[in-house]
Amino acid sequence: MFAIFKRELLSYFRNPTGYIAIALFSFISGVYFINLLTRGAINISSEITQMRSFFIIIVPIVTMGLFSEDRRRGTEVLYYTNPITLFDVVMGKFLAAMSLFFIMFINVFIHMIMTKILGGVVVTGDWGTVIVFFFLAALFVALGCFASALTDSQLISAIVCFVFILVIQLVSTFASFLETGVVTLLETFNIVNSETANAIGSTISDAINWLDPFTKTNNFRYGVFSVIPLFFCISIAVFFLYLTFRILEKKRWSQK
Amino acid sequence: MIEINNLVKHYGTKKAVNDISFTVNDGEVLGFLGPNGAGKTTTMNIMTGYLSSTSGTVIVNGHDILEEPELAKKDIGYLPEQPPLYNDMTVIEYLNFMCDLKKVRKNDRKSMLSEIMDMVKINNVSDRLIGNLSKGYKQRVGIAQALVGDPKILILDEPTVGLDPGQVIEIRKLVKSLSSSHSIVISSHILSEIQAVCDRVVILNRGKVAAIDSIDGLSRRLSGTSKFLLTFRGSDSDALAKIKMLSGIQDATVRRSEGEYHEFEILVSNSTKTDPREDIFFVMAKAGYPILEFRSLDPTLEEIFLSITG
Amino acid sequence: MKNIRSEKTKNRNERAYNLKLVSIGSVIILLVIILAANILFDKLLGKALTFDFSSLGKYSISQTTKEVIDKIPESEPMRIVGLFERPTNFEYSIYEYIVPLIDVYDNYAGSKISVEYVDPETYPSIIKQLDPADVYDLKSDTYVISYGDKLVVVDPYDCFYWNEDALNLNQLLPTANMVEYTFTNTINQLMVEYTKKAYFVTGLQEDASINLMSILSSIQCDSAELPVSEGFKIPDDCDLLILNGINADIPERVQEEMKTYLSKGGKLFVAVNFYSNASEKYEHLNSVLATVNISIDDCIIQEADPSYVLVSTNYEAYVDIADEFKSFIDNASKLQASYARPIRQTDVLASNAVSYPVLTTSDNAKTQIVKDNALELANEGKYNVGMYATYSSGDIRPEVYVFGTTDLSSDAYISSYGYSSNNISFTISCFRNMLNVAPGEYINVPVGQLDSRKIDSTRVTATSITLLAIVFVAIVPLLFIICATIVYNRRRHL
Repeated sequence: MFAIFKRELLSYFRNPTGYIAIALFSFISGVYFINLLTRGAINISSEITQMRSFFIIIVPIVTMGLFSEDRRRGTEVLYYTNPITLFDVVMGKFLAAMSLFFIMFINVFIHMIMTKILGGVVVTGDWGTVIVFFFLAALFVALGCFASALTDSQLISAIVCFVFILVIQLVSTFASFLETGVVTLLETFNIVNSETANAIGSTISDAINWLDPFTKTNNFRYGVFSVIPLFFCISIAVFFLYLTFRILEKKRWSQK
Repeated sequence: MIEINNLVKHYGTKKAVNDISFTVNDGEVLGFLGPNGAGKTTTMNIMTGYLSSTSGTVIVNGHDILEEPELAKKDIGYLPEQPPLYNDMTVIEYLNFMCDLKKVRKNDRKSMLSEIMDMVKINNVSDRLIGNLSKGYKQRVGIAQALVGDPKILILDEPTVGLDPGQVIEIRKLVKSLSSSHSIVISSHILSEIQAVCDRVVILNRGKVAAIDSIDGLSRRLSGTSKFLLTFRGSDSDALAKIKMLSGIQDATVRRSEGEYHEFEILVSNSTKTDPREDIFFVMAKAGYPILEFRSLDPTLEEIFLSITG
Repeated sequence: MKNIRSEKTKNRNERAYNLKLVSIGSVIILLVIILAANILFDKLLGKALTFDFSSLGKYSISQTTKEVIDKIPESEPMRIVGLFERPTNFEYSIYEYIVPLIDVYDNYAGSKISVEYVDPETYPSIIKQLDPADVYDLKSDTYVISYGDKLVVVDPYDCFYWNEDALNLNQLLPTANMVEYTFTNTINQLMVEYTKKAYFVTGLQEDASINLMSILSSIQCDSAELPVSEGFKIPDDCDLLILNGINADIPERVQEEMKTYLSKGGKLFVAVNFYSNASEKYEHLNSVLATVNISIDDCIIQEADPSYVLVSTNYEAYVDIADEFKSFIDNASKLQASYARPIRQTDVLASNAVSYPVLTTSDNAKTQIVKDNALELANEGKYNVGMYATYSSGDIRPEVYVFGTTDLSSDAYISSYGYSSNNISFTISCFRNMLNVAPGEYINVPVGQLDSRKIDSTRVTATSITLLAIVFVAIVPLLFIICATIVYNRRRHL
């Protein structure tokens, strides 16, 4: 695992990719930080929360080449014919991408120190958002790995990953749309009375919202930590990593 | 060393490999000969664990490639048809990565790499980006990669394809030098290449083993005749008559004619003691027909299959 | 049939088939396990594995609140409905202190409290559902707590004390977090049975009285509306009649009914002002009030004493609490009144009634009357802003409070200054006195804290902001871009 991890992490810095991702992150987080600064009150967790909405750009940049490039240039054969398991390969690449996120995140740590220097406060809730950031990153990077393993084109994998993240970011919006739709439908055709219709609508939206990792982890920033949402993120990440592993494995026995 | 038993690989309804069995013995160079699509690459991919067979077993040094993949793969160095190279790495970075992959101990690493780089002669490019190397060098880096970790078996898939003649010779030399310390399986669709480096040859056709034989045995099978191509300027009927009269000549046919220029295909029986080529030269010289080209023709694989099966 | 199938099985290459089965099967099994584990964890351990590490514990509920929640009977759950879409990003808003805390209530109470967020713009039916009689004039962006047939509206802004100076600057700065206090007390009060009933006379262009209704419910007094329609009749269960912020006079036909009501010992609360109804003389209302020696004047008080003046127009000023009513409120002897009409004793006194000033201006206040659409200065002197009247003798004792300002009862005032401002405390005391109920049972819930994310303003100068902006937004990203270019170029030529 370490061999793959080392190569992939170093590869970010042998190519412009890693630097560009870090530059992008530095720039966006910097803009937010300065924006907060001008307001006279720095809530570092709001900066981190804002950064989460840029997963949609940064994650595809980081993950798009992880597996698709190996396919394209034929290096994936190395993973099958050397004494390592495919699980090592998946984990190594995943951890390399996560490490890049950690390196990017140093920006925020510097902003935190800056906040302290400027007489502001960094409260427990802020560390909560840091934890959440990495768990969400794990989820999305796993998703990105999966998208990258699906194809041999970086572009396609980036688009697929982008769409995946977009869908997840829109889960709550989608849920409320669906809720409104269902309720309106039920009420217009008088299938059930409005109270039941509302109940059905909210049950549906609750069920969909249950899948939304953003809503789940919202309370961390207020210092209310819960193990469940983290477990949720990690289990989804594990699922997608396993799926990635299976896709690589499939290459072996696939008859197509 | 490697035992292959009843290997079958389906792709959809097509059988890419259909019931292949053979053994690779210790220290021998085994050639895989077959036209494109004969199943050479698929067989090699299965032998190295890249693909799993539909049925049948591959046992490397007593370890089944599917059941004990790590142990089996430790003993194999594989150079696929397209060398698995990272274009964004330098040669030395790449070989170090391969050391990581093959779990070479830190202490052995330096000496092993310098030995390998000496052997495949890539010392001078060790700090260059792989993407910037010529095809020949890339192929050598690919071989170097297969040598990392000191595997007992080397599996080389068409190592000379796409290289210029000079590079081909270099690679052949390299394979020869490696054969003293390794078992080597090498695939090709060119007979002469196999003949040049191999001890034994497995001939594949349409996913099946057409023949397994030593090189000598194969030569014997092909020994009946050899074929030459002769291009000259002059009268074809006269030349044809004169050549046919020479001893040892089985047959001569006109392949192509363009005005005064003619191309003959000459079939020579190998049983004669003298080399008929000398006779042909003198006959032509005497007749005042300048020879423009005179070379031996390799038998096509089809001809080989015909001669083997026939 | 069987033959064909076995044939098929044979043809299928077993190893690939098995691998495929393992592959797909394991993915499905993993998915099921993950979903099941998540749902189970969520349901069983969600509460146990949630920890409030917030430095101020602002999302933990106090023991008092837990005790109040415990009192809610399982059979009759309480419903908290936020009349807005649940905010997802409460950045810099007061919802930061409310929404997560209400979730904690929800979590703690289990089935006893249900928390919903329903936007009435999307589901207008929610209003009808919560308030079928349409008493409360429910609006978006408020919380409604309903329990049985009782209902209280909590405006999120009322859960905080605000820096009043900042209010003028249009920069809301909460100074105290009373979220838990407000909600817990409301929940507590909802469980107490109503013992009294107040009727709000409607149909007189009156202002909304939702906050006043909440106040009444805190002293176990139910509220209902009484429109001035044909056949206006004050119900027998009316313990208190309220004319809050009316902008039109009562119709003549109502006049007699109200006189009868008073003569039978009814209680009346009247609040009017000059601001929105300058031309109204309230002739019919005055004829009712005359039975207890009170009259509302149609002019505006302008305070002249600088120590009383609040705003430079002199229409907003402090008023003194008359000695007899000082006991209504601790630690304050002045209230605020704006755009007030003077309330005076009638010229002809009814013999059986007696009236007292409640709130008075300074000795040198002036009044202005409207003449030819302009204000003209009238007399100078000391005026009453509020008066109290009752009968001087006998068993039948009607009680009347009349205020020339709406600053003691209007929603607008309560929203800005909160339930615990002096004016409102005074009003509550008036109600309690009339209704003869015990002080509203406000239980002591610890006041929540507010985060201060402020940075040291001396260290954040324009220069330092510019400097940091250059470093963080320009230099750092540029450095990485330069690195990228250098690495790319150097390696490209290796």
